[in-house]
Amino acid sequence: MNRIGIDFKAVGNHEVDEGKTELLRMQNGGNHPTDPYTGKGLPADRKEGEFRGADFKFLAANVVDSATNTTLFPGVGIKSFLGIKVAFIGMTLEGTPTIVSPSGVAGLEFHDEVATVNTMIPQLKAEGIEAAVVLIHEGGFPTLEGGNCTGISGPILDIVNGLHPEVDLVISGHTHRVYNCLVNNSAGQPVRVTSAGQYAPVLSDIDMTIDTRSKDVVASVPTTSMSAAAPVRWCRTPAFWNWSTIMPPCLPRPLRA
Amino acid sequence: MNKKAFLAALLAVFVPALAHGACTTPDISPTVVFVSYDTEVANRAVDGICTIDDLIKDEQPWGSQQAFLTHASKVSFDLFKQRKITAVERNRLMTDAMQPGVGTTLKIKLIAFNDFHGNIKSGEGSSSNPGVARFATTIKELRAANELHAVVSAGDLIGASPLPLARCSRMSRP
Repeated sequence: MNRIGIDFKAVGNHEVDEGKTELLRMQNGGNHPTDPYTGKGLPADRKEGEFRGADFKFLAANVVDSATNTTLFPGVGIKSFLGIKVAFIGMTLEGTPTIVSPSGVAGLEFHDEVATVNTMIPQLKAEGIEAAVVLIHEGGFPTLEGGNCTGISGPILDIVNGLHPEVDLVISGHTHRVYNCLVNNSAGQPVRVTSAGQYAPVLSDIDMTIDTRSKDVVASVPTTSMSAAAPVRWCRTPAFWNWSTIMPPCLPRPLRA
Repeated sequence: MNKKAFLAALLAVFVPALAHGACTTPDISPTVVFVSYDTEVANRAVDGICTIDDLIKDEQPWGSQQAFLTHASKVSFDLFKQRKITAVERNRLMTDAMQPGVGTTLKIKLIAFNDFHGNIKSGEGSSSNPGVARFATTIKELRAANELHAVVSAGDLIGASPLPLARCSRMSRP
């Protein structure tokens, strides 16, 4: 996943399956206490014999470590495009403790999604950031897969209905469905809400237009991109995965060094 | 041969051989387009591999349309002087450059996915699972389509995975 070139990842419920210590290790590096394969990945993934951590930032705006009363990971990641900053607010569903075993969520608190986002927006604006994207691990159920959102249901509706009007785009998940909708925010204005199904086949390819004077988003146009038909160009895997019978022959170099 | 095609063919004579280029990923749209305004000027390499659309850079943060127009005017006039575009084409370019919104927007690409659940091996879990190799290839292509991009995940990148990931080194799991 480091070589794919991810920028930000919202923490979902399955990220906390093995508890906060393990989740922090996946971000920051270090070896697993008991796994016999730990520390044996590709050289590029190692540092002094241990996993060197994830290159991309884990975001969890609504996950608070009870011991320190601060968020387990930063709530927002900011990326600058030719000087114009876009904020990505990442979070999981408030109901994470109801679907993860108690050992996974021990020492963590999960806060309300809407209140968390809406509190952050004025702070971002104070920093001169007008473009805000929410990455949320909670979703909806469209009546027609991949279609428009007539009759969509699920928790994402209430969340988006409550969002601050300065949120420009919501990238959702959790329900494993494919949709590309407009849902009204707290001011009754439509906000683009996407979800790209499950597993590897589907991606959302979103072209976002930003006004360079106001630094705000003027349009977001998503399309669904299918990876099922893409040629395999990256197959270098640690030998112990033992996929040689399944994976095609390797090209000389990996996708991204 | 219609007028446009004839013009394009005529101009092709003046286009120098492609030798170098500062554009790593040239804009190869068939015509020069400013935001949603199609100038109908055939887009083509005019400076190394850089196309007219690349040189005019309408999607950079100019700050004001005036600053963009000054730039667009200079670039198109230089191309005209070098006989790389005609006066008619320059006129078309500048007409659309003056349209509202042109030169004041930036286009970025967000590549988003969710609930990957560590489905690294093709065919695992579902016969329609293309695996991480094809997935990575698609992301690479989308990233190449626009230098201004971000790749983001909305959670459950890992966990509840088919066996290969659960078996593999925890080192590579995030």
